[in-house]
Amino acid sequence: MGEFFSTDQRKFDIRLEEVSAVGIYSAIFPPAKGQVIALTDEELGGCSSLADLRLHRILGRSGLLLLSLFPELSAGLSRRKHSSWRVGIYGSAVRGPTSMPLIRSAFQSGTIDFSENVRRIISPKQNFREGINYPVAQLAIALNVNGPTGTFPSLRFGAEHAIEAAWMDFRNGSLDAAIIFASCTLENPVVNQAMLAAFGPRGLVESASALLVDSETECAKLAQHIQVQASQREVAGGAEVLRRAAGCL
Amino acid sequence: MTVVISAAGVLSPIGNTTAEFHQELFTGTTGVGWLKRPDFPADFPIHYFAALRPFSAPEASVLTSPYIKATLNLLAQIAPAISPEIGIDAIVSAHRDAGDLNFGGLCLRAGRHEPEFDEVLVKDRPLALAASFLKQFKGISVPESRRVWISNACTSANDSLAYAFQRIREGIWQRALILSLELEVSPLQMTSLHLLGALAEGTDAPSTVSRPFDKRRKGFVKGEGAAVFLLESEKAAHSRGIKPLARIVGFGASTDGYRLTEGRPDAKGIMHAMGRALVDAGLSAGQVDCISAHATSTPIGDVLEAKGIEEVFGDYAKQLPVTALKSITGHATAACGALETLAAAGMLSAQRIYPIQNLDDPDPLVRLALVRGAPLPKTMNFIMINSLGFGGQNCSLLLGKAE
Repeated sequence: MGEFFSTDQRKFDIRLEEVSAVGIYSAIFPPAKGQVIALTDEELGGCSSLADLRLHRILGRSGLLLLSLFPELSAGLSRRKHSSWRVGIYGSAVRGPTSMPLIRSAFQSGTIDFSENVRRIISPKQNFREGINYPVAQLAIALNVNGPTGTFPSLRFGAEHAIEAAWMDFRNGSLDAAIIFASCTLENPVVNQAMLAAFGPRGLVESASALLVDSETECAKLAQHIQVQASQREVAGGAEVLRRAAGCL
Repeated sequence: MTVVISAAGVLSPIGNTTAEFHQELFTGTTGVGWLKRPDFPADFPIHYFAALRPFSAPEASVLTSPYIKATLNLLAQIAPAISPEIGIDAIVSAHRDAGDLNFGGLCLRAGRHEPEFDEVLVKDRPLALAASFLKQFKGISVPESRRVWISNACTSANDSLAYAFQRIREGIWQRALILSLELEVSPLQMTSLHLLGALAEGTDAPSTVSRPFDKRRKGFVKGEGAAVFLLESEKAAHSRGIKPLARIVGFGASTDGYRLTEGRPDAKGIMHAMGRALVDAGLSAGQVDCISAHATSTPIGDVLEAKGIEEVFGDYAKQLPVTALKSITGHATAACGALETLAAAGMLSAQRIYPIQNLDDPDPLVRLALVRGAPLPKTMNFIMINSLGFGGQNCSLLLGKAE
């Protein structure tokens, strides 16, 4: 029987915070407020119980929010005792944070001394923090999962596409279990702008959800249940969509 | 249900039509050149880049984003294969999210000191553009929920093909358009890859730098590439009188679950993907006639992939020809699998294998039948295409000769 986990269950404090007009973007992006989980990246990383990895240095906030569900997911997988090669992870995540010092440096320096400036400022880890597939990869490492994985960045339909991907992999005999997640954060002003355009200011909400699904039948049910009209989707990122869909399991 | 690639289009460093691309595979051409871009400073530490050959975009593309121009060009290439009477159930796209590292580069390149919104937010643009193109010119509607964007690093393109392949095979979709795009590079993005130690450095002649499986390989050359495929059931293609380019017969996927930038030393991740692909296709290892390796030309990655191939194919690996497109096109990251799949379709059609360029001194740790020197004529029915991604994703796609 499938299980559902969400950051909502953690009862994190939520605060309304200006998120879309940051630094150099403020000239073109209108200000908007979003519902942000009142934890720093470091604190969120600590929720994963993998604090020794200093996850906040490796992952963007979307990954940290997803990894905050690690204890529940780990316990769920332990109960199942499947081969790691027959568990897949599929989900919707948000591109990681802008490195504001880096962008500012780029703007200020033009092409003069650019290499020197950038090399001084940029960290190799910035690539991990920005990359949209790294939350899945890091979760797979943490959970010791080796099955198929996939990231579906659509803010509106990513969770749906993830469910359908898992469903097909159950059908072709690749899986005994699948983790399907959605993790949405508001740390990237460019992504926030896309969210604003799609959902309006009330759609900017940080949250993460994950379903642990055990069979093709469950996936089929979820896929059927999740086919709600786009107009009914009020929040970016799919965590809410998964929460609603979980009711059918 | 049998699934076929019934049409394709391409933009690449070696050609901007499928015919040109397939022809250049066998001529010894490489698309790797000097990094010559106005937004890169003279002291930039990386000197190589595999840029697209110049291409035109329809006049309608007033926006300057290369993603938009390339998407429109690809759609124009494939348009003759799409008639208004047919349905397209979905568009699946593999393209990089033009994030902020690229953002800074775009601004620098143009000499601007303000961001330009339209160029930055290309997030869903290829999908939206393709849907709008199909609607406007072919009267075909693809709902937003059927516009699937997949972002799995360097496996994105073949994961996209696999996503559509599964649904067409199951009869859920009849036809899908698959887009893969990896374009542009900014100084910030290139610096980021450089600091990870992934890129080839030096000042040797550019055409000699991308050298998968060679002892002197020292990293990959960042490249550009874009391709579009029309996938459909074989029955649907035949009913329209279309001779397909190739069949997709199976795929397998896995995750290393080891480190973000380093493959598992035991190569079990890629082995599992290759094994699953064989099972999925109902083929034995001995039925595979050639492998298109991911082989980026990095010191560690090439050896791990070779080890995986040896383990899966056993003694047969000693006679199984292996080739590597990145020696010719550089590494088109998110789109690399699309170029390799198109190249494999060309090999199945021509019944010969393009050689790996710059393979002067094969790494002794790689005990495979690497194709070097001249093109290798061979009767082939099935080619396996491997894609491996930063983060540990592995995907193996099996392509079959069109019947």
